[in-house]
Amino acid sequence: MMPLPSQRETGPGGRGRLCGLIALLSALVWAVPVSSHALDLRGFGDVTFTKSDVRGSLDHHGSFTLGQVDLYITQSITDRIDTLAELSVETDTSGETAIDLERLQISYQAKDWLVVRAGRFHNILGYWNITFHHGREIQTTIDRPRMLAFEDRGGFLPVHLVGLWVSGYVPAGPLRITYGLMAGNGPKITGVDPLTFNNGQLDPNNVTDNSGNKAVSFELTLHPSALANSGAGICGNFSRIEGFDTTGLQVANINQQILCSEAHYVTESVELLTEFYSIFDQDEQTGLGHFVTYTWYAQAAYTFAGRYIPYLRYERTSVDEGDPYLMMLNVIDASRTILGFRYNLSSASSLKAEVRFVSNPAPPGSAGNGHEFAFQWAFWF
Amino acid sequence: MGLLVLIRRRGALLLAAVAAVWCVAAAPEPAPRDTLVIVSNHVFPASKLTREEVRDIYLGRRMIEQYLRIRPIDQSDQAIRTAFLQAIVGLSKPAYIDHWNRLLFQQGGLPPLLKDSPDELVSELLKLDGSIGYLWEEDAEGRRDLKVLLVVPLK
Repeated sequence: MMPLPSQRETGPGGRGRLCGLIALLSALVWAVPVSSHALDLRGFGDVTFTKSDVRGSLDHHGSFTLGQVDLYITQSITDRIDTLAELSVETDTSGETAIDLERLQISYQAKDWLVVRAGRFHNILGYWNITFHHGREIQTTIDRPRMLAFEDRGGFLPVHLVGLWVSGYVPAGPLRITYGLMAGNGPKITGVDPLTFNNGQLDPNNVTDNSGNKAVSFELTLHPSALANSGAGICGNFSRIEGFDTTGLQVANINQQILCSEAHYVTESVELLTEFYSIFDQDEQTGLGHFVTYTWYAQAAYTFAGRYIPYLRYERTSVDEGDPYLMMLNVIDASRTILGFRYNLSSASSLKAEVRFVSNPAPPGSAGNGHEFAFQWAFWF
Repeated sequence: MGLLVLIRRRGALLLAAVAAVWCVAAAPEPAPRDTLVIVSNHVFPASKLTREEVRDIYLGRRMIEQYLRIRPIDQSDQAIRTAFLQAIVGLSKPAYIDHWNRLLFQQGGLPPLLKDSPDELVSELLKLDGSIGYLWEEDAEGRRDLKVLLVVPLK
């Protein structure tokens, strides 16, 4: 997918900006005095090798890939106001360096049950998207589930949102309840091939909104008080998504509702995760009718002796044939079974190995079934 | 004669060494500390906290007490920190540190402060309104400048 100029800076200019960014961050870290409100700069990185025999894969010959260098900065401006910025520096398939502002948020902590944030966030859809963000070292597996891929990596769920976010925490006997409400720019689809109605890319509308209809998201999760990291919840996203072809002509006007549910049980040795999404699409421009697509994953991992972690994930997407939204984004029926093993070298570095069984029951000539082998060295600094 | 003297002297030395070891081993051990107290200064708005409330504070879920931002304080001393984490938080030290690293990455905020000794912890408590910490009960005895929010027997 071609990056949008508004989203990315590439090439020598991008490298110049990268140097400038690093110099700026260094100066900030140097300039801010060490105190209870000190600025904290940390980050993630990884190197991944992938070999695939899936037809059409770019990793047919085996490829080393520089993962994202994901930098994040946190600072509390006052006792009530916190800030966070997450920037990723990544190399795309053409070898050019790109800088993305993944998250930028300022929050006001009014009460435990009322936190107000403004900025660019990861959408409150499910567990994975608001837990692991771009930090591959803290996720057990090498990659995110396919349905939660980022927009500029072929993702089809609106995983980023620019706007406002209200959230909170309410203790209720043996349970604690967390909630979230988001409202912001809905996404659009750009770059659709006018002949095939394919090859579009979801754009979160970081700078301007092409329509007056704002996207709205919600989540409500129940957590047992006695467990630090477990819970089950529901979530949703409602938006109107306009699609534009390569000439800038509007080709679709999708009224979309996403309803989702998740459950997670995470202890020091056990990790059980599952998320289920129903995507309801109606193209009001073409009047083709209603479409419902389902996508879900389930993942299990067990940690032996604090560092040996075998894991298994199954993920599946069942596309309602003819759904114009998913057609524009090249999404087809697919499933993946991932069998992997992770070895924690330390608390901040790990080696991961995976074999993936990929099934794409697509027509001959397009993607097909196959295997992928992947290895990753991920770290946190 | 010289040989006998040497043997006697070495025997006496050996006997003295065994006696010393026996005496040390038989000396009474310091009484194990078996009660923690959760403390703050007197500005802290609450007069009592439950175990669940303290756990929520140390897990970063509960951050506001009326008009104050709560600042939990940890101790670097392994014995008391491990006892506190096991009794209240329910996590090992590595898992607790990992929890906070992830929380800061997910939502920003202020992590717990870390102090090297009970005296340093008390000094910070008196200086920073909204802060809470944990001490052995004996270390808090007679401190009228501290408010005891919760007593945690470990047995």
